[in-house]
Amino acid sequence: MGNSAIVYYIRDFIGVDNLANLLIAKKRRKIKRYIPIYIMMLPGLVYLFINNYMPLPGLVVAFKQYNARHGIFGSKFIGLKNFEYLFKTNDAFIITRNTILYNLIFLIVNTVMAIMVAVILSELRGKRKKLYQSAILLPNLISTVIIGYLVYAFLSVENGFFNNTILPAFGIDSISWYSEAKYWPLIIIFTNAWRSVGYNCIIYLATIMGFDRAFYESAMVDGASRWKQFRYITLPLLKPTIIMLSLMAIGRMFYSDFGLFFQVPMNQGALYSTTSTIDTYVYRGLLQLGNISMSAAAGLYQSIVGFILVLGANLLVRKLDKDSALF
Amino acid sequence: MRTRESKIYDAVGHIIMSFLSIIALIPIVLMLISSFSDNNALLKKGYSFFPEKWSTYAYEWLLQSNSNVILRAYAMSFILTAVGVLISLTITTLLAYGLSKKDLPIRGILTFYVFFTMLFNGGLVPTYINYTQVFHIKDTFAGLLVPGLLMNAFNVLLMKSYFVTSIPNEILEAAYIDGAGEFKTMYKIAIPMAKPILATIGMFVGIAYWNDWNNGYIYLVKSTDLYTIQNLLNRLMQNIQALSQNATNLDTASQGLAQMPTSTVRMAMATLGVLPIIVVYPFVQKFFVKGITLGGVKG
Amino acid sequence: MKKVLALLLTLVLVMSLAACGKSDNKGTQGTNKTQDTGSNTNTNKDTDTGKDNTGEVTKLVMSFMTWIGAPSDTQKIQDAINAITIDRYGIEVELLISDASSYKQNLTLALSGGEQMDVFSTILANYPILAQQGYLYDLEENSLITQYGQEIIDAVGQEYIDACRVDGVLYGLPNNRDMATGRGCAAIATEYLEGIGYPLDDTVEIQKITLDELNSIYEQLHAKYPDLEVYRPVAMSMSQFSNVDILGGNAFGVLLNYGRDLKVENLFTSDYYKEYVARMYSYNQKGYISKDATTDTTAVTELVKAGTLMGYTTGGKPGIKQQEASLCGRPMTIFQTMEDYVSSAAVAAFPWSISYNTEHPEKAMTLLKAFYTDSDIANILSWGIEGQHYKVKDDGQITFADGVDASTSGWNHSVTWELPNQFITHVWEGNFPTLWEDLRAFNTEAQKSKANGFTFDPTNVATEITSVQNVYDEYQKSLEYGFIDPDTGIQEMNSKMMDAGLDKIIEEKQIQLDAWAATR
Repeated sequence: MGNSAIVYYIRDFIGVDNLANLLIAKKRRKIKRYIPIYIMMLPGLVYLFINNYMPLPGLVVAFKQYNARHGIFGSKFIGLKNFEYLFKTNDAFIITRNTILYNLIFLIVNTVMAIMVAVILSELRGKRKKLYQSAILLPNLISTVIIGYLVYAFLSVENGFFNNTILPAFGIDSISWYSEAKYWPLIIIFTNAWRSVGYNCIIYLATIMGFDRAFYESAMVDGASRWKQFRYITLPLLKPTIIMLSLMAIGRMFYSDFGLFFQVPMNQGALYSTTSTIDTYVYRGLLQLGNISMSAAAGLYQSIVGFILVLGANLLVRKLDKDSALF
Repeated sequence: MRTRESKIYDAVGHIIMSFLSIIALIPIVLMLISSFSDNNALLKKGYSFFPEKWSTYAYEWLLQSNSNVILRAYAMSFILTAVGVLISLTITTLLAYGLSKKDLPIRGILTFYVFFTMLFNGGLVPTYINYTQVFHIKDTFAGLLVPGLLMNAFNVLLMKSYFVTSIPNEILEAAYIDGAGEFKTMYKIAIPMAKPILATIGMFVGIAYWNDWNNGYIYLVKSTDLYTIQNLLNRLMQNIQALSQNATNLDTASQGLAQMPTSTVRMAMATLGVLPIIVVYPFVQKFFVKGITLGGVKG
Repeated sequence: MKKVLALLLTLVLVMSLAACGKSDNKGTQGTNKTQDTGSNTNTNKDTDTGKDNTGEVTKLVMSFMTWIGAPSDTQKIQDAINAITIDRYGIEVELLISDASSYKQNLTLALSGGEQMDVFSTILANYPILAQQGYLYDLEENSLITQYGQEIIDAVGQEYIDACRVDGVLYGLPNNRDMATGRGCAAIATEYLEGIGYPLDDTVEIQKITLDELNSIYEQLHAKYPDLEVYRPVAMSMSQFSNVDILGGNAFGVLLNYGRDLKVENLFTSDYYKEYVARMYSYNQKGYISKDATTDTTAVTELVKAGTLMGYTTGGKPGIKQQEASLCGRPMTIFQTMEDYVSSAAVAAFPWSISYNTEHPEKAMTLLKAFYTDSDIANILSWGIEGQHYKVKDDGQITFADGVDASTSGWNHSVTWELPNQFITHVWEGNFPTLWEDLRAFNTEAQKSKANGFTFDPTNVATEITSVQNVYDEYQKSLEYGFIDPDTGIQEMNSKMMDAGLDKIIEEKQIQLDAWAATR
């Protein structure tokens, strides 16, 4: 069966290849030259085909009333009915707003933090640098459920570290954190930054380390301050990376990290106005119904919106700075 | 000579990083302390940095009843991560390198083909049917290794962009004209120059494999001997979640909850999940930093 | 221009990929059946070497849930069962045991993927919905049950069988267990009751008292032990402490007053709900309930064990006292303030079913029959192997075998109530020897909902349910654990639920209930 997938793939691949040939005959020689490259790319392309493209037709289940007996393709077609629940609710606005706003804030906060940490780390030397890097990466290795417990250890009403130790020290009364929605945007943004800054800075650090040191040396000869070096050398050189990472983040604008929004606030109803996102809403709504068509519909909706957003953003980027565009 | 200004910058840098490191570590220290607390004291007083009573019960329980399981799960985690990183880096690099060739015919289409997978996939059930019915990976090591994790568009595009921006095409062209084949050009010229990004992607992939529990959740039903340490830990957590929140229609859910290991055991398991990283990470980092600096010097 | 071309090409590529992916999938789905049987017979031969010559041995897969997954001696148990079933029934069983969190997903994925999965418990997987989504086999097709499983009907009773029909079709078989629940039960650790000098009655398992008495007990407990938590509500406390019949698996549209009338009503505007929430609110105001009640996921029994909590709600039944005492690690006293009740969904809560795509429906039914009637294998499935996992004491009851205890036993799943027929198995020590007869009597004597056996098809109101469910999730704990003022809270929740379509769900339920009643 695996073989037939490859056969399909190759047939397809050559088909498109021929089409390209007809259109741009000049490229024929080039294609011959690049055959080894195509072969090199093949394993990756085949994997994506298997992992993402082969199950893709299954997305039609989002338009069906799934019945196991008839299978995905044989089930009754019911049009857009499975999508209705995402929009026909008063919460539609809240969950969409929360999802988008959090993603935008994460994008900004995480990018700024990651660049700051990467720049600092790139200029430090010695053993402590490694220590810092290890320390800030560790939170990324803890599952969100555990993070939920740790946050709870700080915020629990009766036994929490905040209510028992920190707030009394400042003479502030106990706060019931899990019933006050207003604190949670901050808590979630902080938790997210705490967990991901070590991970996010890796890519920027690698990029900075790849820069030509000559730029900095000549700047130093000219007496440019560190800040100026950052402003006029590092930042412009990082621009393509920033743009690319942002574009990819925009593609996931309608997704949210389920663990962060469900487990960390402990699924507390009182906090829904600031913690409910599309993913948690769908999870809660479908838990009892167990309707795979409706959950597929939610996924498709998120994909399509993300797709449109990223195409739009990419178009914009291409107008402003052609080289930074994704494609 | 270091100027006064750069000394100040360094000092500020150290202060900021120390601060961030402490913030990152505090909750982890709390996790560690909780795992060494007495369970009843923890239930009474909550999680605390200064537990009323210390206890090694959680670790004794884990090692006594499950030491084989845990050791095997560790081994699986390491093997999975190592194999995953190796294969993933190979196919990601090969694909990204190809996509970075500006003159490559249908490059745009292929890039889009890759990018498209970042946003679209078939969803759980079709993916499951595909992998189990067509490729028969259920209850095999491949079930942990292949679905979703082996390569992702994000890493490919990241690496491609590094190739495009940091490795001048002229150098590669020169090598090619000198008679080196495409593969040799890549192997001899491009790869050594791309060490920072290889180290980065390797790290991303390694973390993804180490942290993953979802594949085991879906594709390992019978072969529980293939569980990684995260599978063990997360099954536990998911069970507690399922029983305390979802099984509201079942009178007996409390029975199930009572069978779950205690809070301190959970913290001990979480600690065990992070521990190897604390031990191994300095070595990985050495390699990583070396990769970065080497690449940096040449670039 | 080039860009447009590129985009066009991309589209062509993607579409052709999708198309060929599709044909590919179809192809495999078409061949699934044959391929599967092929591989099955192969594995049969691999594992059955030596047993093939006894004639036709059919290999079946049987699946159920335990809380923490397959116990370590699963293979041993499987072998012990097969040692009997191969000779007696010509069936070789493979046990596929999942834990609570993954059982539903494993089950539905395996069924969707066409894997072999012949008989299984529908626990945690929502039986009516599995039936409606086509996962289950019609057990009366070609009179399957009367031909191969008549003894099952005899073992559980026709009335309970009929209660498992979904839209008139029988997709599952109820297991023998406590169908009724003692409503309004509270478990309180005995030592605290002794502390306040409360008169305990040792002659009965469950002490019947009034709600006022219970409230006064709580008050005295709080006065005597101000540092301990008096009472901790859990998610299902409200339904355990009510005369409400949760129709069709959700609280949106219920029968009040023990389901004596088939009138679907809005629970959240009912007097009962108002009183309940007000009572919890007053508990909370008086400091009976921990401020962390909504967030803490520790089991109530563990809190009692740790000595921080005194009482909680439970569902009454014969054997409850022993059960709670062993969970809490200290003697418990059970009080009951309401009546015993069999709700509409109780019987069909988690029947045993046969997969829609099984190759051997007759054999699957035979296997189920075996577990319903053959105490040899039922005992193995429930308690393990005699001498290894349990031993029979002189009085006929059983306990752990020599050298093993609860934590070292390789087969100690404590889900015997999930298995087909525990009434034909041994009784564990510490219970009344007549436990199973007591349970039977308990079931028959309890009040029954008039809607007993009604199942609800949510298809038409799926959109409304997701929305209302989210509203309920938002308010449930705050209200039902007494953290917000009931006067404003209930009203707020109600108006949000109405906006989300609660009316429509209630209406739909009434229509389906009337239609169901008409066929009876």
